[in-house]
Amino acid sequence: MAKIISVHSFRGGTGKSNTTANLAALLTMDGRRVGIVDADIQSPGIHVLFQKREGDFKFLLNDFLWDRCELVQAAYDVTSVLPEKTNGALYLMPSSVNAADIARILNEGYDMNRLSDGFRKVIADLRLDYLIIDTHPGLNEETLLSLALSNILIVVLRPDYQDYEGTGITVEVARELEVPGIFLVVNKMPSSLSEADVRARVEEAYRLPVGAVIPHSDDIMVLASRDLFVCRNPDHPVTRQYRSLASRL
Amino acid sequence: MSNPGRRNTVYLLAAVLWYALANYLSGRHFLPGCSFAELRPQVCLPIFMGIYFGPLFGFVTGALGDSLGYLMAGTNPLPIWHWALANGLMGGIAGLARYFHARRVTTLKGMQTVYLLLLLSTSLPFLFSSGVEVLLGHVPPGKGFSFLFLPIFITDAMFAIILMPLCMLAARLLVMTIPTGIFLMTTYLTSVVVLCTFAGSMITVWGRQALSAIAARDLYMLGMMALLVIIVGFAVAAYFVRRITHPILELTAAADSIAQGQYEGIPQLNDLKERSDELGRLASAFKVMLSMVRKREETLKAEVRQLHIEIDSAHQKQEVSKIVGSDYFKALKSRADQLRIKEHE
Repeated sequence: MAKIISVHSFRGGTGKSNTTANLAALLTMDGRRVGIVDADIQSPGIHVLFQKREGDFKFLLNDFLWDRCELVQAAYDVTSVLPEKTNGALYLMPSSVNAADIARILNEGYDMNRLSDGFRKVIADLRLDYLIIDTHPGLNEETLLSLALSNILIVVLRPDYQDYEGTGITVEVARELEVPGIFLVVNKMPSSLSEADVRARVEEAYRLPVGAVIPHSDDIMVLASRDLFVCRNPDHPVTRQYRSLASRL
Repeated sequence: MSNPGRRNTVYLLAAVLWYALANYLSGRHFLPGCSFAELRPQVCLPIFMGIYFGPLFGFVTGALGDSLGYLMAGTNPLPIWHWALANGLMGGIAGLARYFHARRVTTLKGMQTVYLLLLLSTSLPFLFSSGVEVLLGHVPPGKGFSFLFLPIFITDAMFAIILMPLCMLAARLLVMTIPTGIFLMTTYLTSVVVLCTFAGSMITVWGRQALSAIAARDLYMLGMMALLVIIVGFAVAAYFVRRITHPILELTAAADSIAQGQYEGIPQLNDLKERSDELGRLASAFKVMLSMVRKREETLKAEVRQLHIEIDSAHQKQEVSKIVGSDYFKALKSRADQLRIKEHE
């Protein structure tokens, strides 16, 4: 049985794409077949973490939504970026970074049923174990659809005032939609706070499990922005955090 | 030899024998004008045994070693028991160091305690034994003081002051911290120079058969003056060392408590900030740093506390009901069950 996982955050810049890419990499190295959908159509960018440029892609998620191709044609095998050989496979379904394409999606919208049908079909075509959706921040209609489709929701938050309330809203909406599994990932935790304390307080406040607490440091920022952190730093405490979350998915 | 009790007993026996032999050898040459006092660098043995192992070891080394030394020289130690007792007391008094937190010296106070005990252990016991000599009628009181007590005290104290810091450093009983280091640096050379000058005067007149009693008395008065100069020097050095190092110790204590996350009861460093030297600048910078660290920490703590307050707010409920109440959401919710991939698929 395949699982659809939405990775969401109420605000941008919380490390949603990084969390998506690193979890996908760990699941693939564990022998799973994983697909990533860059559903952050308004501000895409996860392909950068796989050292891809838009010119590398013939079809994009936008083409599928405009009925120019099948979703499987917009899925690219990026398993080779992983450092070790694996029985798993990793596919990336990127969105267009072209400003005109983004404007068109924003103006015209797209057929959401086509998106949900496409997910089911690509899961079957590529025999995926996991389809991970990197969603757009906030709670617009596409995001609500992602939540409705998902078996698991991962909400990434930073330990700050604005994220607490936004995360609260997301979590309540996800509960309304009866998402079976919800995990929280606390990202960019100030290193002066204790991990155990933050984990306990967040779990208590939302009555939800915290999947990972990722501390903030300049080193991590530099390393994490250019490629897959868990591949480059397999023994790092941050990698252990991601790995423990991946094992619970 | 794994048993520490047995090992210590062996050390004690070695010290006793060494002390006896050294006393036997040094006892063959008396100081100028004296018929009993001699040069005894070996006084460091019972003193060291006392400081390292405690008063009992110090006492046994001094008393037993002294008696054995007499036996080696063919003298019956029993009629002169008070000298053996005095030697024992010398080690015993030095051994009190551990009861004043001065067995292992890391502070200025510890150093002062050690020096005080060195002076007491080389003076009080011999004041007692010289007094006994006078009471027994062996020497007249004036001579007992000037030619018995004084030469013994001066020379024993001299060797203790010069040799004990070296012994304690070697045995790691004296730890070089900022206060102990500066104190030792300022006092040691001075005391060695002053005492060696006196020793030089003594050696110059040594062996002069015709040395008059007056000249000999002057010699020991000179020695006493040298010792007094050193004692005053110690006090002055201690005063300055405290002035210099106290702020450093205060800053260190403040840094320690901040490292442990305790911001209450930190020394205020206000006196220090007034200083125009490097320490004053260090203290000012430290205060600024402290207030920044403290502010940051409090802000972060407040952030975590806000977790409770913010997510229960009415605003959140309002936002959720806005989304949940929309037509789109209602339609989505009714279909969510069909949309989601099921366990059995």
